[in-house]
Amino acid sequence: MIENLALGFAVAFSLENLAYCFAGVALGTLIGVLPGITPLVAIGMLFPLTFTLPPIPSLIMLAGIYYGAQYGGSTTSILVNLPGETASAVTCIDGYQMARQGRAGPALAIAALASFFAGCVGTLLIAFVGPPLGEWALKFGPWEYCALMLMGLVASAVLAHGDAVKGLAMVALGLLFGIVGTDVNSGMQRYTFDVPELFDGIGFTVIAVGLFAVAEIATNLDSREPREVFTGRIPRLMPSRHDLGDSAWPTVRGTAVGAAFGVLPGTGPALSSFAAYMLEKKLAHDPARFGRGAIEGVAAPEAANNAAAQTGFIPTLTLGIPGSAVMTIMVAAMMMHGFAPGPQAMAEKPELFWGIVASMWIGNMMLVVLNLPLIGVWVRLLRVPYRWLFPSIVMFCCIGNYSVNNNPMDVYLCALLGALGYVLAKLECEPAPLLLGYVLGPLFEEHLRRAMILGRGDPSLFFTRPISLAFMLGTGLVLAVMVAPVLQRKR
Amino acid sequence: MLGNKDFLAGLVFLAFGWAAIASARDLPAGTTLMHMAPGDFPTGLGAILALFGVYLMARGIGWPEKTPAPVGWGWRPVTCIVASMLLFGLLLPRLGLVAALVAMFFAAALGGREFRWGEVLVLTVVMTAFAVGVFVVLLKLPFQLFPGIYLA
Repeated sequence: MIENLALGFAVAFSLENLAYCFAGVALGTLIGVLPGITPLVAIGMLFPLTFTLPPIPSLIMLAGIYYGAQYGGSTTSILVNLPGETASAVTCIDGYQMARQGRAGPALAIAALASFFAGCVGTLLIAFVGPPLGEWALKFGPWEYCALMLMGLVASAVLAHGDAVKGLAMVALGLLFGIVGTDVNSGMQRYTFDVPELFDGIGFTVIAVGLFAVAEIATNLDSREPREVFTGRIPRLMPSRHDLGDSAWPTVRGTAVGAAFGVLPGTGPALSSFAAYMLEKKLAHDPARFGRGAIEGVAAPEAANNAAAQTGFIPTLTLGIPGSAVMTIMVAAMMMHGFAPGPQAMAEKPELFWGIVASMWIGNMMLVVLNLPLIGVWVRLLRVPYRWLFPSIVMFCCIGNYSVNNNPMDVYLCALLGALGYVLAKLECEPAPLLLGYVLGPLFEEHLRRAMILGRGDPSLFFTRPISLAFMLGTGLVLAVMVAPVLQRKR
Repeated sequence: MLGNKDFLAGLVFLAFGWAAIASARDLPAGTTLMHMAPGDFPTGLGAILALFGVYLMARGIGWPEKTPAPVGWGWRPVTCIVASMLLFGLLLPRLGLVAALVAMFFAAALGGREFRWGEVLVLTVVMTAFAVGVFVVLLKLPFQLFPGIYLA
């Protein structure tokens, strides 16, 4: 394991890769901190930029963008009370209160330090858990893969916030979008309507940018909520010794909670940060402090969501099954570079696999070393008016989509999906499960058809093979969670 | 009564499910589970989606107060954004990047809450220069700047 990590660091520490990692972190933070831009939008917008690079630098830069954008998200939740994503929604509660009490500096510093600690632990976990898990996954047949994907898809729909039935419907819609294109088994065209640009399927950028960036701009423009921006100066950045002492154990506990949640496909960072916050509130001597600027309320959820984000790479890299919307972007980017994550990848391309793992740690470290001194710059960015921002985001979306195939059709499709995403968002349908369905759709069908051929059309094998049965029971459990509150309400 | 979010979302899903089943009819269907054909998976999914749609519509009718009608449909922003992207795609191959971006910026900015000529003009100039610098010069994307004029 140690030699694996060493190989990874050797790859990631080359001057070129360090530069790309830095560029990614800086760009990710820059975009992620702009008001009204969630980390997902930032990643979706920036990742076409990485296409022109060779695989390793490109993925390293993407990992940097990811961490930068996440960090930018926690900055906006602390300073603007505007959670960039669900994962940092909990950070708003106490982080924003701290900012109002003039303690924005320590809040931001603790958020970064707790994230860094969690990131280190997460990286080690990937290094230790990844290889055995990958080896175990080599025993998976198509049944196990199907059952695991089913569990991930159902979990992403049910456990995400919002209505579970709508989430499941969005998964089904996403699976359908994934079918568009040439069927790999028969070579037949499905849902392509004789449009040649659709023969290869709907591009990933088209879906991600359309549903997340374009739809979100339209939604932002017609909401009229006034935004209170923290505009005061930040007098002191470094937390006191007292602050550090207060947040040490919450950070450790948050990391543990996050690491556990992160491995489960579909649950992801959002749930873990919420769970970590509740745990701290339970354990505190004086729970009333929470909600009024308790530093533990920043440290624990930030550690948890970063640990979960990090361990989320475990199922993504070893099994090839992304657990969250951001992970699906990472998987799609890897596939574009001819690197299909999964148990084989680790053995075949160790320098790529371990290079990514190591660069995630470096990305984390760069955040602390470079971004804390730059806080003043990020704060100023928060005051950029949205009417300047949104046309510029549209520009990135247009150029990004056009450049993938050098074809205007991708831009047209992206615009249409943006309109669809806007309507769905207005109807309270979350786009994340759709994206997961879209990425897993082709894989799911392939494994399902293989399972049916190998099992001579016998679906009972899903329930008689032990590992597959375990995943099926997991799926059932998640569905039970969904039905339970309905039953309680009826009583 | 039929304007609530559940009913409308159900309607959208039902429409997509029905369309999926209808256009999968041209694809061959399998005879047994062992010989699944290209049409089976899409048809199954379409059926599932349609069922979710019907359930949501029923829930919307039976329990309309749970999800009230969506508020603040802003057709102008979404129309302007979509139109600006269509313009970009239409103009880039014909008139080049600069013209496409000018059209895109003005169309998109019309969707905002306030539209100030001078500001949009400055924004367009600055961002177009940025795009040419980063995407064409630095990343070497093969875009024509003006009709027939490429940068190396």
